Amino acid sequence: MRRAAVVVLALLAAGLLAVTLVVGHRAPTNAERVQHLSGELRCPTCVAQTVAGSNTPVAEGMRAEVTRQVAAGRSDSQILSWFRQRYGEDIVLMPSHHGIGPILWVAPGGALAIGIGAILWRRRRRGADRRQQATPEHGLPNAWLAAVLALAVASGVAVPVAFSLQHQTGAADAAPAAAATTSPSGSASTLPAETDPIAAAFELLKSGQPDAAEAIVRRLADRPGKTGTLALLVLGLAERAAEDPAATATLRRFVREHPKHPAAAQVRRLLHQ
Amino acid sequence: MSERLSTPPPRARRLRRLCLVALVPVLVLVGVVLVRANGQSADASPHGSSPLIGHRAPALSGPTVSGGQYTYRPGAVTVVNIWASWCSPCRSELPTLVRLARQWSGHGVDVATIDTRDGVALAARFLRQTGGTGLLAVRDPKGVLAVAWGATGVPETFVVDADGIVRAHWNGPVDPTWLSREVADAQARKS
Repeated sequence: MRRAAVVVLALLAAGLLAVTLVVGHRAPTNAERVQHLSGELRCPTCVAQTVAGSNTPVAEGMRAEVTRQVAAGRSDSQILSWFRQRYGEDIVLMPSHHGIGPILWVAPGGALAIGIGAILWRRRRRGADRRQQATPEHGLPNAWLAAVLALAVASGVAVPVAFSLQHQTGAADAAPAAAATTSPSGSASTLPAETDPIAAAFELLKSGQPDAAEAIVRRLADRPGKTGTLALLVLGLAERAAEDPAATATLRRFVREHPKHPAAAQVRRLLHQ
Repeated sequence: MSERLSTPPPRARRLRRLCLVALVPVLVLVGVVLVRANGQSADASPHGSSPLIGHRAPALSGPTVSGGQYTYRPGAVTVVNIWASWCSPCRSELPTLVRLARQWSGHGVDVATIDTRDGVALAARFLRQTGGTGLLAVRDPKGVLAVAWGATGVPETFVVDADGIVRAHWNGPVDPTWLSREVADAQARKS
């Protein structure tokens, strides 16, 4: 009776576990896959940012392409290799299975295995030595054993460090290019886009999203001071990009209110085109 | 020999040797990485480092700014340029490209451009202003065509030979001397 109860309970538990595993391990949605893959791709014009975390034109284009390929039913590895073919191995943050990649994958595990192997081997030898009262020259010299262990640990540490260093160096190389493409021409706004709404709007405008830019600067355009001035300028340019007829009036207002602004001359030229 | 091994070296000496041995793989790996990184930065010259060079050109098709439809097919040497109306270096580059396109017209060289992340009216106005009306410009409002060509910015230029293999890549406003030479090289491959 008691045994039957135990069996029933065990079956119930196993059933529940199976249901949990099946329900819990559902396939990711397309949106989740796009988010995950964008996080695997390095933004080629940014400093230490992934495609998921960047709003530069190229990152937006890459996200759109990931979305398109996910919707077309391509696998994660197919999508990542498509990007590798066009941007090189370094575009993917995780090392690939080609070139230097396999070493990066295998080295830490291999180093650990060598280390553990060396410890076990030494222990066995020591036990045997103790039992047989053998002379020490039969065993591996202590210094050499320690050196093997140190080598194993050091390569286990060095490989990930070297890999992350490689990505940081790559990012640093891209920094001047990123600065050249993301600094608004003429007006000097050095604040990063995340903290400066005007710079963020300018980025959106440059990346072909005038509506989003307009939404940010419209509420700021009537503010006094530098923020209001720049907001008015970006608003006018965003309206112009969106082919909104209000653009002319907004840009005229900018020139009228700030005739000595460094961008005023260029705006006048735009108005005369 | 066995005498020397049976008496272990002093602890400090052993530790020093240990540190030295441990340092070797670290230095080797850091060295390899730095050499690779230097190689990469050297590649970031205008003579583009696109991994597409030597490979089949990506697909290029879609509606054009002038309202037509274009699909790239190998057969002629093709210059592919990526631009946008919001890109100011493109404004200075486009007249050069238009001049070369006219010069090459009828000589087996096509010029196909990709207008990326742009509005069609803005692009058409940009072409009018730069004397580029009539230049073949495939629309790429989402930027996916530019990404398919591995572009990181605008402008960028590729030379594709008659067999459809990418032969050269230039980052930034294209140097007409370089472009003419690369086009001539691509044409020479055909024969």
